[in-house]
Amino acid sequence: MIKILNQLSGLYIREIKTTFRSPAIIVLSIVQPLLWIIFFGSSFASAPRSFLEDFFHTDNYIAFLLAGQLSTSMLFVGMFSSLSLIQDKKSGYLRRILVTPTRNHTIFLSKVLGASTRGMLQVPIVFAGVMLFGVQIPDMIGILAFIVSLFLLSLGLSSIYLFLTMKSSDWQIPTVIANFINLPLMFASTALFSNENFPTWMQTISNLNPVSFSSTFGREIIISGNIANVNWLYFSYLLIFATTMLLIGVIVANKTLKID
Amino acid sequence: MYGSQTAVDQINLQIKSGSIFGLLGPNGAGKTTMIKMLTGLSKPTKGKALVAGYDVTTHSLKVKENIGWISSEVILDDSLTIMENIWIQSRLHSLNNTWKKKAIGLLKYLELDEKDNKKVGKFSTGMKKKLEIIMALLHDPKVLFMDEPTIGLDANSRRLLWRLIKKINAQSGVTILLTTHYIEEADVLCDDIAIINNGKIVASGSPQQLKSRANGDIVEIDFFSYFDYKVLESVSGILEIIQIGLENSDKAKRTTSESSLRLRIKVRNAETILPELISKITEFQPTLIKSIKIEKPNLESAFLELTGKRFEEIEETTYDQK
Repeated sequence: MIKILNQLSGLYIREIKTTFRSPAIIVLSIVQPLLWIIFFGSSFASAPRSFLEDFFHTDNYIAFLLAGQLSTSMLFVGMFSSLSLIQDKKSGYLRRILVTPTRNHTIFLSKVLGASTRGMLQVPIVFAGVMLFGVQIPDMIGILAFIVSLFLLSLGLSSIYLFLTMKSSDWQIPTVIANFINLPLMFASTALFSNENFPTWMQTISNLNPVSFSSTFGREIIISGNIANVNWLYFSYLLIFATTMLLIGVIVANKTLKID
Repeated sequence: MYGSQTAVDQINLQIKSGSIFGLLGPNGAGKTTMIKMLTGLSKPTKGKALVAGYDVTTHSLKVKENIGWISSEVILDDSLTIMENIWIQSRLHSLNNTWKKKAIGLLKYLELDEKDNKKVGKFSTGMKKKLEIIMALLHDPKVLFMDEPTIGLDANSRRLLWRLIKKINAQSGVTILLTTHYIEEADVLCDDIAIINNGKIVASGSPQQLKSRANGDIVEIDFFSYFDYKVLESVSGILEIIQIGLENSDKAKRTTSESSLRLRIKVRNAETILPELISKITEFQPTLIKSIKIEKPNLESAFLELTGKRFEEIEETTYDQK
């Protein structure tokens, strides 16, 4: 066990160091969600208050969007885990790791944890940014609970990306998968709008969509300002989702991860 | 197997502990595939291999604990410093806190100690190779695999690395298995060599033993135009005449339509036979010879004796087939 933790910590810290030494990645990870919130969130700035309260259950659409947008960002974070593995395959670094007594699933877990940590980078910056638009920030426990839910979502989504691209060394594959699954998962969720007015089939997808779990859970915290009235069922779903995807990823990694 | 192709076939090898063993063969001979199997990166479809006393198929993690590996191309994380690269290696082998002391000693030994906090991306290939050696030795492996260790290095760096490999082997007693397609490298470095071609070991032994298999000298002559070289067979001391580029099975098709001709003539002693050979050719036509190359017994002529082809001829054929 200690051996696995040593190996995991080495590979995880490598992922983090690589991220922090690339200013472009840091800037893009922070600016992109902030721009989303500012531009998309402002699209209802002049909407009548009654409309906002009826439709979004708040008078500030940015407050409604915040949890959904951060959840949607985790879809793109998942893609980074795939790209990082492909980079290691292309550069031969994966081979360097595989000639040491490191098991495939340790490599998989380091990529998933690295990408998820990278995803968390944007959370404090985005929270600070939305304060300028009058969004009230929840208490520390609330923020922490929301961050954990985002982390679980990110673990699950990164795992999906990784096990779908485990065998590939082609840079284009993660992008193709992202184009294929990100948009449906984003729109068929409660990330941007409430699903009350969705058609039944889309409501069904939305109710099974992990992006909805995280969006709704976070939104309840942000709007109420604390965790007093949140529905923990969404959090439980996220926990099950992350655990299941991680387990599938571990199995797939042990069976299929290899050098070209 | 590599796809549907048999990359390594019926190999039977035993390597002495503490020795430097060379796997010599042209590109595409199966050397890297063999290293992959011995380091647990790919599984043989049949057969058994033991490295450091462990079966590579059933105990691959144990094998990996006991081996070091240096790749043909440099594989490091360029965004990290020397010490960070070494630290990750120490984590992957789950080394205790003594790794740093060992690393500092090795850095000093390889004269990289003043650069330990610099990012490796800006280093020369030679320096990166040294770092790879440090990383490969950090956990005191029993066997060190070096896959074409000097490929891409200039002649000076190559000689420096040879000295270093010899020194490491002498001081640490680690068994080294290296693959190379540089004949000189195998000759200088290795205690024992196996010559591999088409996935099969065609000969093995010490460099001296292998050289002794090259029976006689080789004279290679390039001619400006074709002539009936059968007349040369009457020269005493000639063991064999081969027209290069013409396979054995095609000998019957020998044709005069060739614009130029290259002969490989195996002789007992090149120096004594050459005057008579040249006079026989010039007698036929005075300006026929383009160039003459004489080769004394060496590993390459041993390879030629064993396979009928030189390294580059096999590599050219492989390239053409691709």
